[in-house]
Amino acid sequence: MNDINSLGYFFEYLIKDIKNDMDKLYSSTCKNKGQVMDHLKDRITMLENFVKSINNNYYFQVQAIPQPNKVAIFPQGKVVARNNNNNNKTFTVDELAEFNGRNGNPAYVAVNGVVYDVTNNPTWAAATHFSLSAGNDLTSEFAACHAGEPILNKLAVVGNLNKVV
Amino acid sequence: MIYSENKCPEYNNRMKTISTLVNRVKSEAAIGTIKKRNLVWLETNGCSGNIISLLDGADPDFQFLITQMTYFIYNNSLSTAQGNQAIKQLFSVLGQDYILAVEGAISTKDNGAYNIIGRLNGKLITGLDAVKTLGEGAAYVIAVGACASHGGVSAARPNPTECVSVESVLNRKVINLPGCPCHPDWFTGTLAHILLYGEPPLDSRNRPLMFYNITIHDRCERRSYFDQGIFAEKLGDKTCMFKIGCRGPITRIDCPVRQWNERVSWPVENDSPCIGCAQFGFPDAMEPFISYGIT
Repeated sequence: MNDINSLGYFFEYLIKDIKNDMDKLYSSTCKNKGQVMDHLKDRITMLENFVKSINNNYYFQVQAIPQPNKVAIFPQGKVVARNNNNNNKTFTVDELAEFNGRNGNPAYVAVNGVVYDVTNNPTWAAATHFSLSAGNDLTSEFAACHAGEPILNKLAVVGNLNKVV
Repeated sequence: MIYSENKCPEYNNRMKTISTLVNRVKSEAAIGTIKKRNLVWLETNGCSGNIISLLDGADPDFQFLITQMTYFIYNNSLSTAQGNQAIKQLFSVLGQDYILAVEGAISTKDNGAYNIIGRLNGKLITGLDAVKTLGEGAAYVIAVGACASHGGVSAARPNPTECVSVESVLNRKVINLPGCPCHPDWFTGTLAHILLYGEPPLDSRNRPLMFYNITIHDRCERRSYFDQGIFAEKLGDKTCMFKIGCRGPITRIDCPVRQWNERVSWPVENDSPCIGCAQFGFPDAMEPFISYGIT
């Protein structure tokens, strides 16, 4: 599935979800309005983040798109900002610092020269992890706490870090 | 037991852990196959929050603990004896069989001079003195709460009195029950296990596996929102609080199942993100507790 098709399905599901939620809210029999509104708000936030990220000149990769004929109660379409060459972008330290997980930016960290996406990693709530913040080179901190643990391969690689500018 | 049957068998089993152990203690004690043991509950550099939490225990309650499970020798806050008499009572267990529970960190600056717990024959007794004296001879040492387990709030930056954990000042194994405060069940269950079978199975940081073998995130009632990427933006939102800083994914303990205040509720149910109070490094390593504007 190429990116254009992925985006197409993504928007199709978002819009379908939003319409479904609105239909439910109009219905007099809707018993869980709060939950439906939360879901609706989430879908609108997804669209909002997408538009914000376009303004930041990033291309997108759509993850975990439900198959067209599959019924999904909560479709899992998530937009994650990516560099324009998948995982070959080279970040300077200053560029990496912008990816601190705030103001629409995803949360990236560097370890041993590789830049990883921790935006939705459960151990990185609010783009922080045991007093460490996203947007930084955490090579020495990783070595101090997780040396030998095969955990980095669970993270999406988004590029490389160039410390020499 | 004060809990409602859940459809999940794992939840039910967890909730029955304490009652199963305590009922076994009752029946074994009745036929004399186990005996009550001396318990010293020593408060050092802390806030007394753990003994207050223990007083809130139910099924079993505190009264059962001090009458049916143990000979409750000493506690700083609850002692009716005062001054020299109280400190003599504290050290009266030396040479006997006893279990030592410590709440509070150990202040080490200037040989512990900033945490004086009493006076014996005119000599000031520091928390450091008391833990070292009582710790080496105890059958078991249990560090109750965050401060005793790893320094906790007492050791938070800038840590002016150089507080450390109990195990840092003893050359022996210490069972750690981190949490701010420690849940009554975590202590009573650990004590019941000791009375019946000895030391409970522990993880690599000496926490009893029967309580600390899952994370908050594993059993969180809002987990499905996380899985679907539906996140709260502010306190009061009823979805996953990951984006505002919930430390549930890195905090190993069973709060979502066991709950608090006689098992009626817990922080996430009340719209407060987990602040990682049962995780090593709390509070410094768990901050910021709340964040806004996260992508």
